Amino acid sequence: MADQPILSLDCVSKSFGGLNVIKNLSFDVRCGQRTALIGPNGAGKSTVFNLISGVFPVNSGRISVNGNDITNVPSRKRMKLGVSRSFQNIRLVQHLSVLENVLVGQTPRVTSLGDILYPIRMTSGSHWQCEAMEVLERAGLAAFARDHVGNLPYGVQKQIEIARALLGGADILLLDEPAAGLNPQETEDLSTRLHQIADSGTTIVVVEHDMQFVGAFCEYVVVLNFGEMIAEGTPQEVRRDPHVIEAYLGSDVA
Amino acid sequence: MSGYVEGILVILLLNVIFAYAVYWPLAAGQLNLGVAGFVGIGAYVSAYASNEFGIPPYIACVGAGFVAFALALVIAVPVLRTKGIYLALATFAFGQVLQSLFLNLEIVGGAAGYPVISYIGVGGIAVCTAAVFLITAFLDRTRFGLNMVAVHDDEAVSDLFGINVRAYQALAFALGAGFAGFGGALYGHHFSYIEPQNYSILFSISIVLFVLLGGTQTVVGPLVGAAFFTLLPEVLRGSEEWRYAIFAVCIIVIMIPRPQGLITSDQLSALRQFLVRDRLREERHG
Repeated sequence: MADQPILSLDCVSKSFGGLNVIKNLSFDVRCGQRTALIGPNGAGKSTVFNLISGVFPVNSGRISVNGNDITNVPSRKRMKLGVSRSFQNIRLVQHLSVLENVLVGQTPRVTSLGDILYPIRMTSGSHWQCEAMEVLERAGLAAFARDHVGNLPYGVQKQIEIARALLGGADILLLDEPAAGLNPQETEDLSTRLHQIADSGTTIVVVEHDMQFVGAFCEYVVVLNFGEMIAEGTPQEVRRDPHVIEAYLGSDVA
Repeated sequence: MSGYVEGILVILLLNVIFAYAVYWPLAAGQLNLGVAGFVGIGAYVSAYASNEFGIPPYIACVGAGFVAFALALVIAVPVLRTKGIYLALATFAFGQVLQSLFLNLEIVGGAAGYPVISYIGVGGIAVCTAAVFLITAFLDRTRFGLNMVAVHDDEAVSDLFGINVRAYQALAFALGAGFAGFGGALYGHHFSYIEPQNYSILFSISIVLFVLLGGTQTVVGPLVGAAFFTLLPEVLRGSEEWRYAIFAVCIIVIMIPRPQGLITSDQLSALRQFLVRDRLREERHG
Protein backbone atom coordinates (compact mmCIF):
# COMPACT_ATOMS: atom_id res chain seq x y z
CA MET A 1 0.00 0.00 0.00
CA ALA A 2 2.47 2.57 -1.18
CA ASP A 3 0.12 5.52 -1.39
CA GLN A 4 -1.47 5.01 2.00
CA PRO A 5 -0.99 8.28 3.94
CA ILE A 6 1.52 8.09 6.78
CA LEU A 7 -0.49 10.60 8.79
CA SER A 8 -4.18 11.16 8.38
CA LEU A 9 -6.65 13.45 10.11
CA ASP A 10 -10.29 12.64 9.53
CA CYS A 11 -12.98 15.18 10.53
CA VAL A 12 -11.07 16.23 13.65
CA SER A 13 -12.69 18.82 15.92
CA LYS A 14 -11.50 20.39 19.12
CA SER A 15 -13.04 23.01 21.34
CA PHE A 16 -11.88 24.64 24.54
CA GLY A 17 -15.01 25.53 26.47
CA GLY A 18 -17.26 27.26 23.95
CA LEU A 19 -14.42 28.11 21.60
CA ASN A 20 -14.19 25.84 18.56
CA VAL A 21 -10.51 25.89 17.81
CA ILE A 22 -10.44 23.13 15.19
CA LYS A 23 -13.51 22.47 13.07
CA ASN A 24 -13.93 19.29 11.09
CA LEU A 25 -10.37 19.22 9.86
CA SER A 26 -9.24 16.51 7.45
CA PHE A 27 -5.96 16.20 5.64
CA ASP A 28 -3.42 13.54 4.73
CA VAL A 29 0.34 13.59 4.74
CA ARG A 30 1.94 11.15 2.37
CA CYS A 31 5.09 9.25 3.26
CA GLY A 32 8.22 11.34 2.74
CA GLN A 33 6.27 14.42 1.69
CA ARG A 34 7.68 17.59 3.24
CA THR A 35 4.51 19.26 4.44
CA ALA A 36 3.79 22.67 5.97
CA LEU A 37 0.84 23.72 8.08
CA ILE A 38 0.42 27.47 7.68
CA GLY A 39 -2.12 30.10 8.55
CA PRO A 40 -2.53 33.42 10.34
CA ASN A 41 -1.95 33.68 14.10
CA GLY A 42 -4.62 31.82 16.04
CA ALA A 43 -5.56 29.61 13.10
CA GLY A 44 -5.02 26.49 15.28
CA LYS A 45 -1.77 25.19 13.81
CA SER A 46 -0.06 24.42 17.10
CA THR A 47 -3.32 22.94 18.39
CA VAL A 48 -3.27 20.50 15.48
CA PHE A 49 0.24 19.43 16.54
CA ASN A 50 -0.94 19.08 20.13
CA LEU A 51 -3.83 16.89 18.99
CA ILE A 52 -1.58 14.69 16.88
CA SER A 53 0.96 14.25 19.67
CA GLY A 54 -1.78 13.72 22.23
CA VAL A 55 -1.26 16.74 24.50
CA PHE A 56 -5.02 17.31 24.23
CA PRO A 57 -7.70 14.74 23.38
CA VAL A 58 -9.87 15.44 20.32
CA ASN A 59 -13.61 16.07 20.71
CA SER A 60 -14.45 14.10 17.62
CA GLY A 61 -12.78 12.67 14.54
CA ARG A 62 -9.94 10.25 13.96
CA ILE A 63 -6.18 10.57 13.77
CA SER A 64 -4.19 7.72 12.29
CA VAL A 65 -0.51 7.09 11.79
CA ASN A 66 0.76 4.38 9.43
CA GLY A 67 -2.78 3.10 9.21
CA ASN A 68 -3.14 2.71 13.01
CA ASP A 69 -5.86 4.67 14.71
CA ILE A 70 -4.08 6.62 17.48
CA THR A 71 -7.02 8.82 18.50
CA ASN A 72 -7.31 7.20 21.93
CA VAL A 73 -3.68 6.23 22.45
CA PRO A 74 -2.18 8.07 25.46
CA SER A 75 0.39 10.74 24.57
CA ARG A 76 3.17 8.78 26.25
CA LYS A 77 2.83 5.93 23.77
CA ARG A 78 2.45 7.90 20.56
CA MET A 79 6.13 8.35 19.87
CA LYS A 80 6.52 4.60 19.82
CA LEU A 81 3.83 4.51 17.15
CA GLY A 82 5.66 7.01 15.00
CA VAL A 83 5.04 10.65 15.94
CA SER A 84 7.78 12.83 17.37
CA ARG A 85 7.86 16.59 17.75
CA SER A 86 9.66 19.78 18.70
CA PHE A 87 8.12 22.75 20.48
CA GLN A 88 7.37 26.35 19.59
CA ASN A 89 9.09 27.55 22.76
CA ILE A 90 12.22 25.56 23.41
CA ARG A 91 11.48 22.83 25.95
CA LEU A 92 14.83 21.20 26.64
CA VAL A 93 15.81 19.96 30.08
CA GLN A 94 17.83 22.92 31.28
CA HIS A 95 19.72 21.04 33.98
CA LEU A 96 21.10 18.38 31.65
CA SER A 97 23.92 18.47 29.13
CA VAL A 98 23.28 18.44 25.39
CA LEU A 99 24.16 14.76 25.14
CA GLU A 100 21.93 13.89 28.10
CA ASN A 101 19.01 15.75 26.55
CA VAL A 102 19.44 13.78 23.38
CA LEU A 103 19.65 10.54 25.40
CA VAL A 104 16.24 11.36 26.90
CA GLY A 105 14.96 11.40 23.33
CA GLN A 106 15.75 7.69 23.02
CA THR A 107 13.35 6.79 25.83
CA PRO A 108 10.58 5.40 23.57
CA ARG A 109 12.96 2.69 22.40
CA VAL A 110 14.32 1.84 25.86
CA THR A 111 12.32 -1.10 27.13
CA SER A 112 14.48 -3.39 29.25
CA LEU A 113 15.14 -2.80 32.94
CA GLY A 114 18.81 -3.40 32.22
CA ASP A 115 18.90 -0.40 29.92
CA ILE A 116 17.10 1.78 32.46
CA LEU A 117 19.54 0.80 35.22
CA TYR A 118 22.68 0.93 33.06
CA PRO A 119 24.93 3.76 34.37
CA ILE A 120 24.78 5.63 31.10
CA ARG A 121 25.86 8.96 32.59
CA MET A 122 28.98 7.43 34.09
CA THR A 123 30.36 5.61 31.07
CA SER A 124 30.74 6.36 27.42
CA GLY A 125 30.74 4.04 24.46
CA SER A 126 27.44 2.23 24.88
CA HIS A 127 25.52 1.94 21.61
CA TRP A 128 23.01 4.48 22.95
CA GLN A 129 25.70 7.08 23.41
CA CYS A 130 27.38 6.31 20.09
CA GLU A 131 24.06 6.73 18.34
CA ALA A 132 23.34 10.01 20.15
CA MET A 133 26.82 11.36 19.36
CA GLU A 134 26.35 10.39 15.71
CA VAL A 135 23.14 12.41 15.50
CA LEU A 136 24.84 15.35 17.24
CA GLU A 137 27.75 15.13 14.83
CA ARG A 138 25.49 15.12 11.80
CA ALA A 139 23.78 18.21 13.18
CA GLY A 140 27.15 19.86 13.78
CA LEU A 141 26.58 19.89 17.53
CA ALA A 142 29.25 17.43 18.67
CA ALA A 143 31.39 20.21 20.15
CA PHE A 144 28.58 21.13 22.55
CA ALA A 145 27.87 17.57 23.72
CA ARG A 146 29.06 18.09 27.31
CA ASP A 147 27.79 21.66 27.71
CA HIS A 148 24.79 22.58 29.75
CA VAL A 149 21.85 23.31 27.51
CA GLY A 150 20.82 26.47 29.35
CA ASN A 151 23.98 28.35 28.39
CA LEU A 152 23.81 27.76 24.63
CA PRO A 153 22.58 30.17 21.92
CA TYR A 154 18.95 29.99 20.83
CA GLY A 155 19.72 28.60 17.37
CA VAL A 156 21.79 25.78 18.81
CA GLN A 157 19.05 24.89 21.30
CA LYS A 158 16.54 24.63 18.43
CA GLN A 159 18.88 22.21 16.67
CA ILE A 160 19.18 20.12 19.83
CA GLU A 161 15.39 19.86 20.01
CA ILE A 162 15.36 18.43 16.51
CA ALA A 163 18.16 15.99 17.33
CA ARG A 164 16.29 14.85 20.42
CA ALA A 165 13.03 14.43 18.51
CA LEU A 166 14.82 12.31 15.88
CA LEU A 167 16.15 9.78 18.37
CA GLY A 168 12.77 8.43 19.41
CA GLY A 169 12.78 6.43 16.19
CA ALA A 170 9.62 8.08 14.86
CA ASP A 171 8.69 8.18 11.16
CA ILE A 172 6.97 11.54 11.41
CA LEU A 173 8.65 14.64 12.78
CA LEU A 174 6.37 17.52 13.73
CA LEU A 175 8.38 20.73 13.95
CA ASP A 176 6.64 23.72 15.52
CA GLU A 177 8.16 26.88 14.00
CA PRO A 178 11.69 25.54 13.52
CA ALA A 179 12.85 28.71 11.74
CA ALA A 180 11.37 31.23 14.17
CA GLY A 181 14.00 33.48 15.71
CA LEU A 182 16.82 32.20 13.50
CA ASN A 183 19.02 34.51 11.44
CA PRO A 184 19.24 33.91 7.64
CA GLN A 185 22.41 31.83 7.93
CA GLU A 186 20.90 29.66 10.64
CA THR A 187 17.72 29.24 8.58
CA GLU A 188 19.78 28.04 5.64
CA ASP A 189 21.66 25.55 7.83
CA LEU A 190 18.34 24.36 9.21
CA SER A 191 17.01 23.82 5.70
CA THR A 192 20.07 21.78 4.73
CA ARG A 193 19.77 19.70 7.87
CA LEU A 194 16.05 19.08 7.37
CA HIS A 195 16.67 17.99 3.78
CA GLN A 196 19.18 15.43 5.11
CA ILE A 197 16.61 14.18 7.60
CA ALA A 198 13.88 13.97 4.96
CA ASP A 199 16.22 12.13 2.58
CA SER A 200 16.92 9.52 5.23
CA GLY A 201 13.23 8.61 5.20
CA THR A 202 11.58 10.71 7.91
CA THR A 203 8.41 12.55 6.99
CA ILE A 204 8.60 16.17 8.14
CA VAL A 205 5.60 18.34 8.94
CA VAL A 206 6.31 21.95 9.92
CA VAL A 207 4.22 24.76 11.34
CA GLU A 208 5.92 27.85 10.07
CA HIS A 209 5.45 31.58 9.52
CA ASP A 210 8.57 32.08 7.41
CA MET A 211 6.99 31.80 3.93
CA GLN A 212 10.31 31.91 2.16
CA PHE A 213 11.39 28.87 4.13
CA VAL A 214 8.09 27.10 3.44
CA GLY A 215 8.31 27.88 -0.28
CA ALA A 216 11.85 26.57 -0.49
CA PHE A 217 11.55 23.53 1.73
CA CYS A 218 8.02 22.14 1.51
CA GLU A 219 6.36 20.17 -1.27
CA TYR A 220 2.88 20.37 0.11
CA VAL A 221 1.07 23.05 2.10
CA VAL A 222 -2.10 22.90 4.20
CA VAL A 223 -3.56 26.33 5.01
CA LEU A 224 -5.69 26.83 8.13
CA ASN A 225 -7.81 29.80 9.11
CA PHE A 226 -10.02 29.90 12.22
CA GLY A 227 -9.57 26.16 12.67
CA GLU A 228 -10.70 25.20 9.18
CA MET A 229 -8.72 24.15 6.16
CA ILE A 230 -9.09 26.80 3.48
CA ALA A 231 -6.63 25.44 0.92
CA GLU A 232 -4.10 22.70 0.24
CA GLY A 233 -1.65 22.05 -2.54
CA THR A 234 1.87 22.87 -3.64
CA PRO A 235 3.33 26.15 -2.37
CA GLN A 236 2.76 27.71 -5.83
CA GLU A 237 -0.88 26.66 -5.95
CA VAL A 238 -1.61 27.82 -2.44
CA ARG A 239 0.03 31.18 -2.99
CA ARG A 240 -2.42 31.93 -5.82
CA ASP A 241 -5.49 30.72 -3.95
CA PRO A 242 -7.93 33.62 -3.37
CA HIS A 243 -9.01 32.25 0.03
CA VAL A 244 -5.43 32.27 1.21
CA ILE A 245 -4.80 35.80 -0.03
CA GLU A 246 -7.96 36.91 1.71
CA ALA A 247 -7.03 35.21 4.98
CA TYR A 248 -3.63 36.84 5.05
CA LEU A 249 -4.30 40.24 3.54
CA GLY A 250 -8.05 40.91 3.92
CA SER A 251 -10.96 40.68 1.49
CA ASP A 252 -10.39 43.94 -0.40
CA VAL A 253 -7.24 42.62 -1.99
CA ALA A 254 -8.74 39.36 -3.23
CA MET B 1 36.67 7.44 69.74
CA SER B 2 35.20 9.49 72.57
CA GLY B 3 31.52 9.11 73.37
CA TYR B 4 30.90 12.69 72.28
CA VAL B 5 32.51 12.27 68.84
CA GLU B 6 30.80 8.94 68.32
CA GLY B 7 27.43 10.47 69.22
CA ILE B 8 27.90 13.27 66.69
CA LEU B 9 29.08 10.82 64.04
CA VAL B 10 26.00 8.61 64.42
CA ILE B 11 23.69 11.62 64.15
CA LEU B 12 25.60 12.78 61.07
CA LEU B 13 25.38 9.37 59.40
CA LEU B 14 21.67 9.05 60.12
CA ASN B 15 21.03 12.60 58.93
CA VAL B 16 22.73 11.73 55.63
CA ILE B 17 20.30 8.82 55.17
CA PHE B 18 17.35 11.07 56.02
CA ALA B 19 18.68 13.67 53.59
CA TYR B 20 18.43 11.15 50.74
CA ALA B 21 14.96 10.23 51.93
CA VAL B 22 13.94 13.82 51.19
CA TYR B 23 16.22 14.20 48.17
CA TRP B 24 14.49 11.61 45.97
CA PRO B 25 11.01 13.13 46.11
CA LEU B 26 12.54 16.59 45.63
CA ALA B 27 14.46 15.30 42.61
CA ALA B 28 11.08 14.50 41.06
CA GLY B 29 9.69 17.88 42.12
CA GLN B 30 7.81 16.82 45.26
CA LEU B 31 8.16 18.26 48.73
CA ASN B 32 7.57 15.46 51.25
CA LEU B 33 6.77 16.97 54.65
CA GLY B 34 5.66 13.60 55.98
CA VAL B 35 9.09 12.05 55.94
CA ALA B 36 9.19 11.81 59.76
CA GLY B 37 6.17 9.50 59.56
CA PHE B 38 8.04 7.11 57.28
CA VAL B 39 11.07 7.29 59.59
CA GLY B 40 8.74 6.26 62.41
CA ILE B 41 7.21 3.42 60.39
CA GLY B 42 10.69 2.03 59.82
CA ALA B 43 11.67 2.43 63.46
CA TYR B 44 8.57 0.72 64.83
CA VAL B 45 8.41 -2.07 62.26
CA SER B 46 12.04 -2.99 62.75
CA ALA B 47 11.89 -2.70 66.54
CA TYR B 48 8.75 -4.83 66.73
CA ALA B 49 10.08 -7.44 64.32
CA SER B 50 13.35 -7.86 66.19
CA ASN B 51 11.82 -7.66 69.67
CA GLU B 52 8.90 -9.99 69.10
CA PHE B 53 10.16 -12.40 66.44
CA GLY B 54 13.89 -12.30 67.05
CA ILE B 55 14.67 -11.19 63.51
CA PRO B 56 18.33 -10.13 63.22
CA PRO B 57 18.58 -6.31 63.40
CA TYR B 58 20.08 -5.69 59.94
CA ILE B 59 17.48 -7.84 58.23
CA ALA B 60 14.80 -6.12 60.29
CA CYS B 61 16.13 -2.69 59.19
CA VAL B 62 16.18 -3.56 55.49
CA GLY B 63 12.76 -5.17 55.82
CA ALA B 64 11.44 -2.05 57.56
CA GLY B 65 12.78 0.01 54.65
CA PHE B 66 10.81 -2.16 52.24
CA VAL B 67 7.66 -1.83 54.36
CA ALA B 68 7.99 1.98 54.25
CA PHE B 69 8.65 1.75 50.49
CA ALA B 70 5.55 -0.35 49.89
CA LEU B 71 3.38 1.85 52.10
CA ALA B 72 4.58 4.93 50.22
CA LEU B 73 3.76 3.32 46.86
CA VAL B 74 0.20 2.76 48.05
CA ILE B 75 -0.07 6.27 49.53
CA ALA B 76 1.45 7.76 46.37
CA VAL B 77 -1.63 6.88 44.33
CA PRO B 78 -3.96 9.37 46.05
CA VAL B 79 -1.32 11.78 47.40
CA LEU B 80 0.48 12.39 44.11
CA ARG B 81 -2.75 13.53 42.50
CA THR B 82 -2.06 16.81 44.30
CA LYS B 83 0.63 19.22 43.14
CA GLY B 84 3.02 21.75 44.63
CA ILE B 85 1.97 23.25 47.93
CA TYR B 86 -1.06 20.93 48.15
CA LEU B 87 1.19 17.91 47.84
CA ALA B 88 3.31 19.29 50.69
CA LEU B 89 0.11 19.70 52.75
CA ALA B 90 -1.09 16.18 51.95
CA THR B 91 2.23 14.63 52.97
CA PHE B 92 2.27 16.79 56.10
CA ALA B 93 -1.19 15.51 57.02
CA PHE B 94 -0.14 11.93 56.39
CA GLY B 95 2.87 12.41 58.67
CA GLN B 96 0.56 13.68 61.42
CA VAL B 97 -1.72 10.67 60.98
CA LEU B 98 1.23 8.32 61.41
CA GLN B 99 2.50 10.15 64.47
CA SER B 100 -0.86 9.90 66.21
CA LEU B 101 -1.02 6.25 65.21
CA PHE B 102 2.28 5.64 67.05
CA LEU B 103 0.93 7.57 70.05
CA ASN B 104 -2.10 5.31 70.30
CA LEU B 105 -0.65 1.92 69.46
CA GLU B 106 -0.40 0.31 72.90
CA ILE B 107 1.22 -2.77 71.40
CA VAL B 108 4.41 -0.71 70.87
CA GLY B 109 4.12 1.28 74.09
CA GLY B 110 2.02 4.23 72.91
CA ALA B 111 3.11 7.56 74.35
CA ALA B 112 5.45 5.85 76.80
CA GLY B 113 7.78 4.84 73.99
CA TYR B 114 9.18 1.46 73.01
CA PRO B 115 12.54 -0.04 73.98
CA VAL B 116 14.56 -1.77 71.27
CA ILE B 117 16.60 -4.73 72.39
CA SER B 118 19.05 -5.58 69.61
CA TYR B 119 21.84 -3.07 69.05
CA ILE B 120 23.57 -1.69 65.95
CA GLY B 121 26.84 0.17 66.47
CA VAL B 122 28.39 3.12 64.70
CA GLY B 123 30.34 0.91 62.27
CA GLY B 124 27.20 -0.81 61.04
CA ILE B 125 25.43 2.51 60.59
CA ALA B 126 28.41 3.85 58.63
CA VAL B 127 28.20 0.91 56.21
CA CYS B 128 24.44 1.41 55.82
CA THR B 129 24.88 5.15 55.15
CA ALA B 130 27.53 4.40 52.54
CA ALA B 131 25.13 1.94 50.91
CA VAL B 132 22.34 4.53 50.76
CA PHE B 133 24.72 7.09 49.26
CA LEU B 134 26.07 4.63 46.68
CA ILE B 135 22.61 3.47 45.64
CA THR B 136 21.55 7.10 45.17
CA ALA B 137 24.72 8.06 43.31
CA PHE B 138 24.41 5.02 41.06
CA LEU B 139 20.73 5.54 40.25
CA ASP B 140 21.48 9.18 39.47
CA ARG B 141 23.93 8.05 36.75
CA THR B 142 21.40 5.75 35.05
CA ARG B 143 18.54 6.51 32.70
CA PHE B 144 16.34 6.34 35.78
CA GLY B 145 18.18 9.40 37.14
CA LEU B 146 18.25 11.09 33.76
CA ASN B 147 14.51 10.66 33.30
CA MET B 148 13.93 11.86 36.86
CA VAL B 149 15.59 15.19 36.02
CA ALA B 150 13.44 15.40 32.89
CA VAL B 151 10.27 14.73 34.93
CA HIS B 152 11.33 17.38 37.44
CA ASP B 153 11.95 20.02 34.77
CA ASP B 154 9.07 19.41 32.37
CA GLU B 155 6.36 16.82 32.96
CA ALA B 156 4.57 17.42 29.66
CA VAL B 157 7.66 16.95 27.51
CA SER B 158 8.78 13.92 29.53
CA ASP B 159 5.40 12.35 28.90
CA LEU B 160 5.62 12.95 25.14
CA PHE B 161 9.03 11.30 25.12
CA GLY B 162 7.53 8.14 26.55
CA ILE B 163 8.46 8.58 30.19
CA ASN B 164 5.77 7.31 32.55
CA VAL B 165 5.69 10.50 34.64
CA ARG B 166 3.35 9.18 37.35
CA ALA B 167 5.38 6.01 37.79
CA TYR B 168 8.61 7.98 38.16
CA GLN B 169 7.05 10.33 40.70
CA ALA B 170 5.63 7.43 42.68
CA LEU B 171 8.97 5.60 42.61
CA ALA B 172 10.88 8.69 43.75
CA PHE B 173 8.42 9.17 46.61
CA ALA B 174 8.62 5.51 47.62
CA LEU B 175 12.39 5.29 47.29
CA GLY B 176 12.71 8.28 49.63
CA ALA B 177 10.25 6.70 52.06
CA GLY B 178 12.21 3.44 51.90
CA PHE B 179 15.42 5.25 52.89
CA ALA B 180 13.51 7.10 55.62
CA GLY B 181 12.23 3.82 57.06
CA PHE B 182 15.67 2.22 56.85
CA GLY B 183 17.29 5.20 58.62
CA GLY B 184 14.56 5.25 61.26
CA ALA B 185 15.09 1.54 61.94
CA LEU B 186 18.85 2.08 62.38
CA TYR B 187 18.14 4.94 64.77
CA GLY B 188 16.00 2.71 66.96
CA HIS B 189 18.57 -0.07 67.10
CA HIS B 190 21.34 2.35 67.97
CA PHE B 191 19.61 4.43 70.64
CA SER B 192 17.65 1.42 71.96
CA TYR B 193 14.52 3.47 72.54
CA ILE B 194 11.95 5.11 70.28
CA GLU B 195 9.01 7.34 71.12
CA PRO B 196 6.26 9.02 69.05
CA GLN B 197 7.50 12.55 69.86
CA ASN B 198 10.57 11.92 67.68
CA TYR B 199 8.49 11.79 64.51
CA SER B 200 7.03 15.27 64.50
CA ILE B 201 6.67 17.80 61.73
CA LEU B 202 9.68 19.69 63.13
CA PHE B 203 11.86 16.70 62.33
CA SER B 204 10.52 16.58 58.73
CA ILE B 205 11.08 20.30 58.29
CA SER B 206 14.64 20.27 59.54
CA ILE B 207 15.57 17.47 57.12
CA VAL B 208 13.95 19.32 54.23
CA LEU B 209 15.83 22.45 55.29
CA PHE B 210 19.24 20.87 55.23
CA VAL B 211 18.61 19.24 51.88
CA LEU B 212 17.54 22.58 50.41
CA LEU B 213 20.59 24.22 51.93
CA GLY B 214 22.89 21.62 50.37
CA GLY B 215 21.11 21.81 47.01
CA THR B 216 18.85 19.33 45.24
CA GLN B 217 20.36 19.45 41.76
CA THR B 218 23.16 17.01 42.50
CA VAL B 219 23.65 13.91 44.62
CA VAL B 220 26.34 15.51 46.79
CA GLY B 221 24.14 18.46 47.79
CA PRO B 222 22.17 16.59 50.48
CA LEU B 223 25.41 15.13 51.86
CA VAL B 224 26.93 18.60 52.23
CA GLY B 225 23.70 19.97 53.70
CA ALA B 226 23.45 17.19 56.27
CA ALA B 227 27.08 17.63 57.28
CA PHE B 228 26.65 21.38 57.57
CA PHE B 229 23.49 21.15 59.66
CA THR B 230 24.91 18.52 61.98
CA LEU B 231 28.40 19.87 62.48
CA LEU B 232 28.02 23.65 62.53
CA PRO B 233 25.97 23.75 65.77
CA GLU B 234 28.71 21.63 67.36
CA VAL B 235 31.45 23.93 66.13
CA LEU B 236 29.52 26.84 67.60
CA ARG B 237 29.10 25.10 70.94
CA GLY B 238 31.69 27.43 72.48
CA SER B 239 29.30 30.39 72.39
CA GLU B 240 26.60 28.56 74.39
CA GLU B 241 23.34 30.49 74.36
CA TRP B 242 24.05 32.32 71.12
CA ARG B 243 24.90 29.31 69.05
CA TYR B 244 21.50 28.76 67.45
CA ALA B 245 21.23 32.46 66.63
CA ILE B 246 24.64 32.38 64.97
CA PHE B 247 23.69 29.15 63.22
CA ALA B 248 20.53 30.74 61.80
CA VAL B 249 22.47 33.78 60.64
CA CYS B 250 24.98 31.47 58.89
CA ILE B 251 22.13 29.77 57.00
CA ILE B 252 20.67 33.07 55.85
CA VAL B 253 24.07 34.38 54.80
CA ILE B 254 24.61 31.22 52.71
CA MET B 255 21.16 31.27 51.12
CA ILE B 256 21.53 34.86 49.86
CA PRO B 257 24.28 34.18 47.29
CA ARG B 258 23.32 30.53 46.75
CA PRO B 259 19.52 30.25 46.53
CA GLN B 260 19.87 26.95 44.62
CA GLY B 261 21.81 25.44 47.53
CA LEU B 262 25.49 25.08 48.26
CA ILE B 263 26.17 22.64 45.43
CA THR B 264 24.66 23.12 41.96
CA SER B 265 24.92 21.08 38.79
CA ASP B 266 26.48 23.98 36.86
CA GLN B 267 29.23 24.07 39.43
CA LEU B 268 29.89 20.35 39.22
CA SER B 269 29.91 20.24 35.44
CA ALA B 270 32.31 23.18 35.35
CA LEU B 271 34.56 21.28 37.72
CA ARG B 272 34.24 18.11 35.64
CA GLN B 273 35.07 19.96 32.45
CA PHE B 274 38.05 21.54 34.13
CA LEU B 275 39.27 18.09 35.13
CA VAL B 276 38.72 16.32 31.81
CA ARG B 277 39.67 19.10 29.43
CA ASP B 278 43.36 18.23 29.43
CA ARG B 279 42.63 14.59 28.91
CA LEU B 280 40.32 15.30 25.97
CA ARG B 281 42.91 17.55 24.38
CA GLU B 282 45.49 14.80 24.64
CA GLU B 283 43.09 12.31 23.08
CA ARG B 284 42.36 14.63 20.19
CA HIS B 285 46.01 15.33 19.43
CA GLY B 286 47.32 11.92 20.35
